[in-house]
Amino acid sequence: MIKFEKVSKSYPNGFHALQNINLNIAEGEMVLLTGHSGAGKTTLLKLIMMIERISSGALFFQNKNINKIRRNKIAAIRQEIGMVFQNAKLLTDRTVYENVASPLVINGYKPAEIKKRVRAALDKVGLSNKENMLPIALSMGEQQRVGLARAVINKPKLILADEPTGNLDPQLSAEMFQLLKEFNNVGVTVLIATHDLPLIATMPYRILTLRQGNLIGTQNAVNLITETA
Amino acid sequence: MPSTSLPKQPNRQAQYPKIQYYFLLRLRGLLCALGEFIRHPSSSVTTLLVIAIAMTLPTGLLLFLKNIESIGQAWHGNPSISLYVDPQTSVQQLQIIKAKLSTLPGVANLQYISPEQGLSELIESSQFKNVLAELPNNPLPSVFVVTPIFNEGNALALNRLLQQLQSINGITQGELDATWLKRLYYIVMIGERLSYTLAFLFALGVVLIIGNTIRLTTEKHHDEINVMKLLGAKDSFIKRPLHYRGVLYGFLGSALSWMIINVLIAEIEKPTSVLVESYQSTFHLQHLPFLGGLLLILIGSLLGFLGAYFSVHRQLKQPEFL
Repeated sequence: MIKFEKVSKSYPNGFHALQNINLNIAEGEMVLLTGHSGAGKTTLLKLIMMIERISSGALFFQNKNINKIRRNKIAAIRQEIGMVFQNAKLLTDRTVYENVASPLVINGYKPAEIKKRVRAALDKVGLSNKENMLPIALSMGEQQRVGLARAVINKPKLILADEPTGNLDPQLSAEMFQLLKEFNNVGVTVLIATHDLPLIATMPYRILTLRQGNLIGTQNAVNLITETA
Repeated sequence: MPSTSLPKQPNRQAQYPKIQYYFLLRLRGLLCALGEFIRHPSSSVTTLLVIAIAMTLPTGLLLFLKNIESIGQAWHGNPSISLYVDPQTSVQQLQIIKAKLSTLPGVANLQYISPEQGLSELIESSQFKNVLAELPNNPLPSVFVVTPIFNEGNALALNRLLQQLQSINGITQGELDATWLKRLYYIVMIGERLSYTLAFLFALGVVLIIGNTIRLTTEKHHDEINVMKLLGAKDSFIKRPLHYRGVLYGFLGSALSWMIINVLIAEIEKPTSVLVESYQSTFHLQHLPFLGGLLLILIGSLLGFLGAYFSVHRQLKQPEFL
């Protein structure tokens, strides 16, 4: 699904955000990406989302070298990726329903299909009774779940989550992870960037650790916690 | 998926057919633009008024000059052009010049005044008859007096005819015997150049006003635009409502400008007629013609689009963020 081949990313000021990354994420896999602040987690996600381009190496998404994709084709690739942001990034002047529906509106779905899918997605994240509310009336946990519903509404092949539990308490964080696991269970590839070590320690998934832009390998959660402490 | 699964991948009927989607996107753009316009009535109306004023000033000035020009056209006097012939010109050459002048379009009548005839007329009308009579040589040149045909009696056409006549070989100088018409011609010319310069500056102003309004909108919705792009919206999906908004501003602003001009003309029409009638002349103020009004709206819409285009283009070039 995703393949990094000797990928490096550096900035004009000489900062090397990622160095010589080799990584392979299989279809249907759930992978956790961790590391300290500034380790390069968000940069890695940005490269997959083509918010930024790699400096060297090759990056494949579904066997397509996305670094060679032209600017006007980026939107089509992004439509296959569901993005969950740290602070939900909901449109504050739109209702929950409208927020979740936006990827479908972009793709030209008919209202009946939009309604069917939005209702199902909101039902899945437990917010079907709040579809007419504005985001401001929701708690952080609810906002994050709306963000997740929006991310999955277009049936993405990949979900990228950037610190999805960053603003949530432990219980809400666990619920969020549970939802992501459920989507993974139906075959969606999930890549989560997080530094919520106590939570990921309980998970049986592959954990990738970044340190100063280098991928220092796959670790199990217990080793990771010991090392970080 | 556990308990409640999302619907399966839809068939093609779940999405609009391409042609229908093409038009729907444009309709959506228009509705978004109108919605934004209605949601912020005070700022929208203020921007519209500024655009209308910016478009009224050069258009109004041009229309004013057209009216001034038609005062010259409406003038029923009979101007003449005096053409002074080179003293070295032979009698044969004089005949050639005369023949050439009489065949020119725009010349209604031609009169030849020889140097002798000219001197005798001068002696008769001058206070210095004795001095003039004592001159050893006649210093006056031969003169052709050209009367233009009636419909050539406007300032611009007369000046064009004068320039044409002056270019004839053997003519040293030409003089239009209607100084005020000459002045009017130059005033109109200066005014025209001034109004074209003003039109350019105000057009630039309209582009900047609309560009700035759209820039403020895009800055206000910066996060929203960023999210929509990350959700897979194409640039055109984001740009279209903003472009339409620019066009809408230009369209409505110029339509308002057209209305203001017509109201102004209607206001001054009656007093102008009374003034002109007091000079025993007839003159009717020109309104902005229908096609002129449409052209004004077209230009306004185009300027609106340009303002929005440059503003949105710059905004979309800004880096995205997570």
